[in-house]
Amino acid sequence: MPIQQYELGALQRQIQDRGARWRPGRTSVSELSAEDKGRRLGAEIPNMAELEAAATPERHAQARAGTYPADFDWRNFNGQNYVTPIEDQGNCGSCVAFGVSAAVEGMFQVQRNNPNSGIDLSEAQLFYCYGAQDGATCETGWYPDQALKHVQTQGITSAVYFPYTAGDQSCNLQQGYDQASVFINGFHTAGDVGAMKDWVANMGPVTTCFTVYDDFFYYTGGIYTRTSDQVAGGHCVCVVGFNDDESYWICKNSWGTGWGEQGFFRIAYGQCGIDAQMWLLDGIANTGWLNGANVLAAYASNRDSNAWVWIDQLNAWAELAQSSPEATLAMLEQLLASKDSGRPNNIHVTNDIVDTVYAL
Amino acid sequence: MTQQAEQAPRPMEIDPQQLRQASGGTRNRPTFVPPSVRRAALAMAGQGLAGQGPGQDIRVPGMRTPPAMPGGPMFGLGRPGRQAHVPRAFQRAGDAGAGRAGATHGATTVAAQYSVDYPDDLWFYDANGGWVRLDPTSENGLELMNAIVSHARQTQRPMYYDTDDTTGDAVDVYMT
Repeated sequence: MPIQQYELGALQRQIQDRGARWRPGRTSVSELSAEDKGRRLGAEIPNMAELEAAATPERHAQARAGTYPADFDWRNFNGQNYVTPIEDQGNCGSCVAFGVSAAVEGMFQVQRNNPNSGIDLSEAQLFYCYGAQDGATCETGWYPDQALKHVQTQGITSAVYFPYTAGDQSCNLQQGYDQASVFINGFHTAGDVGAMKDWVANMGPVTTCFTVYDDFFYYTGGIYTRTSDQVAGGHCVCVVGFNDDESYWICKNSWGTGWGEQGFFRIAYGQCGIDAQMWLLDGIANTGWLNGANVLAAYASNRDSNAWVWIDQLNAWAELAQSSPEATLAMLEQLLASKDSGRPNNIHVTNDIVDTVYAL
Repeated sequence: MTQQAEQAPRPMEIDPQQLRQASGGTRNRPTFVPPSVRRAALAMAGQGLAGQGPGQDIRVPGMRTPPAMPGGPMFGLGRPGRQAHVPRAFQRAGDAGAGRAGATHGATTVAAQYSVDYPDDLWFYDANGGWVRLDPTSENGLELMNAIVSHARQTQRPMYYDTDDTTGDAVDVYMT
């Protein structure tokens, strides 16, 4: 059976009949052809049917492992929004790139406690460079494991160096892209919903994939539960929160702000395999250049080459490299002088260790 | 204070402000070191005190991470007022100081520094507590700590330090 084109009144009745709690309407994707709707997805999940069957809401009642509040939303944590703006994958099955980059961007802002970092990573690099290496195209889609491995080992650069446009294309990175690459320390999957919530509430947004049914394209708000049996395909998104009281996940989609709740959606626990498994990022590796960075504090102890500086852009202590005592002392003195004069630095860090300083 | 520290040359137990007045102001050649201290320094020359600290590292073995910064950026993170949950991602630097031994001092300002023609004998004057010696266990560590203390004195920015319970020496310093 093909993806259905719904008449809104009929869909509304269908939702009421099923006792669902979401509102249908015309959206940025609802009027697309069945073929183009399929291209708004793009997750190749080999055993999704099994995973979906196993992802029952009952698991949430049993799982209270971990430390997390009953409801949590990175879009409003202490009045700050740590989630980067909604994007649009367009007519290409590149959802994996968007679901992954959104999680990396979100975790970046959480880890640095900077909700206004302005980070915008290149989904184009992820999909058209790394994805292409793995054989992914707009027609085939991709898989989060592969995408995350590339982010871990090769990094993902700023969108400035390769802005995203929909449609298969060659890897066209501008020179200097590697200077702005962000790496993750690693990732792992979780099948326990307590572990998922713990990670979301404590570490940052995560990536998930689920089965999209053809009524999902009409979602404009509420808590989604499927009212159709027609599978449209696999899709990847970023989870930014949850609510135990009303039993839903809060997800960031990549269909623009003209769909859902300004681009986000709430989906009931256990629906469509949304929480069958999630990909949890093991933190952002602080490797790369920090341009215009300021030192806010400094530390040293009675041990050889044990000097640290607090860098505003990292929002954390970074150790000064220890290859030679003289170099450590020189870097510390330069950074202290910058701190004193209020002048910025271009600092290169490798896994949180400062190894190069340009005191400007 | 150990016997070692007592024997080492040390600054006078008077306030730096008094020292400045006694020396006729900062433009004149300082007279920070009194003859008695100078004599003590000469007497102990060659007695092998150089470079000897408390003899053990009071910090947790292998821990090379600084403590959380009191009053510093960690405390400006929007620590929740009504919302009790604090994500672990926000607690990274705060956790790093776990296991620190000795007493913590600060925030204070560095009113003066002292050095003498004697190995590894650097002191600073804590405006709240008097003269404190920098632990000379590591020559390089001493240089690094002295750089920070110098900067704190120059800028009069708040400084914090931990002291060894036995020697009273500052074993680490950090400033905002």
